[in-house]
Amino acid sequence: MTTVALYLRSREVPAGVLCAVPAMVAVAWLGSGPAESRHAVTAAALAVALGVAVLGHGLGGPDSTLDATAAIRWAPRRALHLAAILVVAAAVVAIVTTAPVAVVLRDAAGFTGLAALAAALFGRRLAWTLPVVTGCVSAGIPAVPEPFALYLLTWAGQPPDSPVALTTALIFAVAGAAMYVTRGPARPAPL
Amino acid sequence: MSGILGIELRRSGALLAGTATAVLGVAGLYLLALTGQTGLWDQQWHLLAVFQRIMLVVLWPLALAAGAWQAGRDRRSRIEELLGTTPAPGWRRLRPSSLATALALAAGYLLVLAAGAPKVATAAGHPGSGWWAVVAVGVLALVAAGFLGLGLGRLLPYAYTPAVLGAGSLAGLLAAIEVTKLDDATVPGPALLLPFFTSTISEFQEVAGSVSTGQAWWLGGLALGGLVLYLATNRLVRLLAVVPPALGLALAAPMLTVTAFPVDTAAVAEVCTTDGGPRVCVTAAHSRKLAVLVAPAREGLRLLAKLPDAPASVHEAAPGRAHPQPASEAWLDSDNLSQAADPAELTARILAGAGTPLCARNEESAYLDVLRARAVAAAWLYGSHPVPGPAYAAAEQAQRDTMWKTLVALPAGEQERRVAAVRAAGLTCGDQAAALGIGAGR
Amino acid sequence: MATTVEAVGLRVRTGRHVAVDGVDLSLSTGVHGLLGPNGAGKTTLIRALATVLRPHDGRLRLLGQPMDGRPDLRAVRRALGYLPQEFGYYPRFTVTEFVEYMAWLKEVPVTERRRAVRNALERVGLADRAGSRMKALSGGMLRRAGIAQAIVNEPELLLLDEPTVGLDPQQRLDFRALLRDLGERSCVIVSTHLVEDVAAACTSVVLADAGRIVLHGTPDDIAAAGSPADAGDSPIERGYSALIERHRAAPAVAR
Repeated sequence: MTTVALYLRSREVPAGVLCAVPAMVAVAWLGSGPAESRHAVTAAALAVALGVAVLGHGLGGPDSTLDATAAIRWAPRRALHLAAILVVAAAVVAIVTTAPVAVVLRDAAGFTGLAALAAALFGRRLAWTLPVVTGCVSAGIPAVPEPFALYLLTWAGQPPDSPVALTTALIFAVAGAAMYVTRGPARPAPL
Repeated sequence: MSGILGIELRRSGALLAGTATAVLGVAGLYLLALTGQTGLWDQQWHLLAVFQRIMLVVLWPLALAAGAWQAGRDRRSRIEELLGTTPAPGWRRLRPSSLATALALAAGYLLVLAAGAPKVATAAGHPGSGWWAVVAVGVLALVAAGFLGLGLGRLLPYAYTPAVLGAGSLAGLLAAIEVTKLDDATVPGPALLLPFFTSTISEFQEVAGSVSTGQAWWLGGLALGGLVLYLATNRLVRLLAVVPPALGLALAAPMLTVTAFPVDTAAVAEVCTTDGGPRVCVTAAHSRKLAVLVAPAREGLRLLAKLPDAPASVHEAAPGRAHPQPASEAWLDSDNLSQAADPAELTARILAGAGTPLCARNEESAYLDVLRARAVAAAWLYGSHPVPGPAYAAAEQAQRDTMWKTLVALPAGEQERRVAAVRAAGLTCGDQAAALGIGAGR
Repeated sequence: MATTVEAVGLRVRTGRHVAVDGVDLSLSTGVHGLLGPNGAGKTTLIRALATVLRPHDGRLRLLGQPMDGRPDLRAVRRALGYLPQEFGYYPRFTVTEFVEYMAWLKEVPVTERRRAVRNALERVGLADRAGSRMKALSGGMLRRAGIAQAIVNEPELLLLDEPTVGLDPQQRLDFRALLRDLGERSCVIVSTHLVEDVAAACTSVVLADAGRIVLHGTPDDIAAAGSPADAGDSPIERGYSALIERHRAAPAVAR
């Protein structure tokens, strides 16, 4: 138990949770109008994106090079960490929002993958970039079915029964998780 | 400082923010090309300017996040102690990075304009005027986002600030849209204070000059407030950052109560043929379509000559064109210009309602009856039924066929009188279905 | 000769801990080595001299300016060069850009800036890496880039906190030569653990322990304090350990 606590503290997770949970609740609540309205879905997507972006900061420690020399096997721990982010973000937003739970779960999976991808590519300090950019694009543009490119871009705001949006989210989730679990957070901190 | 500005432009996150703005903006414009919807922005310079402002809904929060990220650089680099021992005051040290952020964001926004420009230049009917003010306000809005991000990022120097500002501000703005939607849509009022437009305009509309001025005051105040917050070296100055936005809001509020998107008089001005034949006119906004219209329009006039008191010229009727229509003119609704597939169909569309535009609204109960009456009148003038154009569902077509047969069964003089009545009703926006006197329930 | 640093009864706090506890010091042109074990208050003293920390008590004059009340920090900082112990930098800047940026902040006149930057880089032997990104530099090169930014404004008061960390033996020899050169016109204060650097390059040595000055003299004075019985491989090392040991024993007796 203590090693888990030490691990979480080394990644500043407690502070991240303290920031992410109120932020998610606030954003999801802002959109909790009439049930299943478009606005509720986009607000839920944004809330998940924001929560995952903040929690994504914990995907790396202050010194990734030092972490990389550790004797323990990182891969399962990283996978567990990603799963925890997904569950926390999805659970908090699902409680507050009026949007369908399926949408929240799908978006949480997709955004967690994106955060993992950003952490693996740019390091933990920039883990927020991909979820926030994708979240803003997805929520700012009306979720239209045409053209296909826009349909893909607005995946997070699409209705729960959209197979394309689900596939997109799963691709992000699998690609991000695979990259992060195998390679870990990026070593040098840019900027 | 110029050398330092160059360094900041090359090495800070500003360049990335500007590039992201340009890439997302250009993608936003040209993704619509996939479905042939570039008409949303390429018909007029004003439309492009407004469409760019609509895209700010995504770009604005991202610029905010980029600014906040930039503001955290000294802290992330652990260079604050060293910088603290230099003689230059804090505001002087931060000035180049704020300027670089503003320049990069402005350049990114203008690049999007430049990317859309070639398409607009080939499609727009007239150069228009005043749209550059809409662009300038857009640049100001984006710079305000960058400055606000810088200021808030310095005020709240935490690792989570950029993410929370980016996604959080968009959530707040979307909620604000929901709230302002409840108001009357024709008087946007508070919605104009948002850093982006929430709806597009038609090619015959423009953004009122006073709206642009008011928005410039408000967004300029926001930008200045953000800049003060960023450059402030003590708590008192930080508090003063509230003053510019408040002042801007006070100056802007009275200017935003007018009609936001009035008719663009330059766009609805007529452009006519000057070759001595029967006059054919279109609006300046559609001046490029005049050449296509001339032949079908003159054919339409020839066919309309069957009627007494026949029109001698064809005019495009932009929405809201003032009635009554002179008897000497045939009017054609604007949307027919882009919807007609070939010259014969265009002629048939001119003949619909015997050279009068559609007055009935979609939601009126008699709407379908009016459409049928107009089509039958067109067929009578054209000399055959049905006229060239899109096919209808079988039931609808059968109904029209019946009406056609009823009309041609009448004595010749009566036929002509009925069609002339349809035209007369159209001139004053009267009931064209009743004027024909054939069809459902009559 | 004007006194560049003048401290009387100087006390500086870091948090609740008084890290510099009653220091009397008077330094002028020359190279002054600041020696002492870990926790002696060397870094705190240097940070106070660099105007990062405000003195908590006592009097401090830098370049003739009193540092209490509302001091004219700007004038002092214009003539100040500082290499912090934890040297932060912008990783994406090139070496030239970083030093030029610091020169701008130190208000080096714009007409002389380019020349001053090139000059500083040549003096630390980084001219051939001038176009490299800071993040691509090795530890020793980073340290030298840090020295370059510190000397770019030709400071009258140069404060170097552990400048020789990461330098290889050849670079340390070059650095000693640079120090002697700088010491002819400025007051250079070098904090270090490496006793032989001090012996080779310094005109005076300030030996500190537990926030107090143990001895202020020449390297020879330190060497003279040692006897063959003391710990160390060279005369000055033996002198250093003898003085620290004696100082630690003395206050214990006084108490």
